[in-house]
Amino acid sequence: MTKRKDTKGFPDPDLIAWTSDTLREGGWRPDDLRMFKFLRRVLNNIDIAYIATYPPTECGIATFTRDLATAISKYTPFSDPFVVAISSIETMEQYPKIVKFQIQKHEHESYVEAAKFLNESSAKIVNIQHEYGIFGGPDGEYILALVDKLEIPLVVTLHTVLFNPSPGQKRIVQEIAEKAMAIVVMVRTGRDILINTYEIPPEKIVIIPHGVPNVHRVSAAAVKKSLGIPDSPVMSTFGLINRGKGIEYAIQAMPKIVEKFPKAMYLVLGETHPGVRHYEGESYRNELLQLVSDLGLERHVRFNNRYLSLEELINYLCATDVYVTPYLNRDQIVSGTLAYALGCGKAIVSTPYLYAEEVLSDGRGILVESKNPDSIAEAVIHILSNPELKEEMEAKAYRYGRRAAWFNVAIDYLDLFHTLLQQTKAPQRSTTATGRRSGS
Amino acid sequence: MRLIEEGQFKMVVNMASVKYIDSAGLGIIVGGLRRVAEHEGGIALAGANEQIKRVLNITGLARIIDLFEDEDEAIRNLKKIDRTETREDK
Repeated sequence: MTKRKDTKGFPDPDLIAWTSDTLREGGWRPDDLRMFKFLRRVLNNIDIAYIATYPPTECGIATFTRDLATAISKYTPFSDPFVVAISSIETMEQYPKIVKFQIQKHEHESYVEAAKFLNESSAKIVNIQHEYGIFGGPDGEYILALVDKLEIPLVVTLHTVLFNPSPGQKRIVQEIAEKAMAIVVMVRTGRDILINTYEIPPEKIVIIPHGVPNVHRVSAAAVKKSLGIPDSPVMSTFGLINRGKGIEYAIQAMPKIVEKFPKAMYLVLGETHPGVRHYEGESYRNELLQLVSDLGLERHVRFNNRYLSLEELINYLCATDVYVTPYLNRDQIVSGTLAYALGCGKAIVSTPYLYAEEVLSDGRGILVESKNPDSIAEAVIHILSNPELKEEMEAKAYRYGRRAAWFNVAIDYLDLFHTLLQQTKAPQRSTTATGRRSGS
Repeated sequence: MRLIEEGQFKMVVNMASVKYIDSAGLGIIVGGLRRVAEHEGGIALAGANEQIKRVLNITGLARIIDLFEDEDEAIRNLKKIDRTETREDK
């Protein structure tokens, strides 16, 4: 695979374009070579390798990895980050150039080759985005072949922490944790489960929240107008649609909501998850469409069956009055869509899965019973009927979101990486995340 | 930037009401620093919170940007700002 042009061959046109974009508001002049040389010497550099799925692969972890890498890069404009992407033959993605190596998901040997590639690369630290399903083998165990051969400091971000893991699932995380210098989870609950169920040493676990876009609060009415949505109460749910989303229960809540707010609208945003589409086509979406028809809700439920850009998502979220996550999996330890809704400062109604329970505490949202349309309807009506409560919830959500903005999360990761690298230079000290402050 | 264009090359930026800083914010400071350095000037930050100090330390910008607890201290020390590093690359 072709290696990217070394930034030492200054001036690198990509670097100029990218850095000037990063610093443009400061009156940066891309042709100011003296400043480039000076900053390149002064700024801390760290080449990070990310192992994960990556866009154009459509999944939450791919999006997360892109957002994290982008956010960190803005603070390290002279570093050379790269991605080792998990690919499968079915997808055959055309990746951007930040992807320097592709692991064939279902080929064990490909993981060994990736470890060799990484060991010979410029990477100073490796960050694996872990979710069992994105790697090959039973419960994604092929990733262990890579971890075992890796000779570079490793940090693993866990996107799934199961309350009741199978013996195989538990063993995989334990073996990864054994090799990793730090394990990142996004909520305190995840840390507790790792300690109590997976028996991971607490000093290895660091909490860094799921990043959210840097969004300024705007008037929902103005955004609705720009999107052609009537100025009426809007609920929404977005993401890659699959049966675990429980959208049918939110749809079933609509008749009661419409009874109270006759112009209320529920937007279901996003395409069917590609993995789901591969196995069952659009059957879930078709069932939802049939349900809407059966309930006579055609004027009150709209679907947008596309993979939405970040800008589109933000616009729809800003136009939303009540964001709903009616998810069914009680063990879900993170939700990018819920994190984004918090970042946009939305009033939120959610079923009580682990991530929602934690981030919606302190009045940042209302938890409702799982698979219970009446419970959803009651909560939505309560919020829409109490503008002051809605405003209060929105303000609390937005404050939480500011702390979790990607520019803050990037600093948390960089802080962790630098701390760990310092420890590797001082072998007499512990080589874990001991003593680090845990994030929010 | 407007102050620099008006000929003010030594300035203290009061950060007391700034909760967070991102890369765009850093860009403004670095851009300003470059411009005042051309005129033997300097920029000092006063009252930055822990988040801002952390960002400056982690990025490495703390090596070239002076931080002070409050405005008075920053003004007292502004004349002492050492611009040796920025000049040596000219």
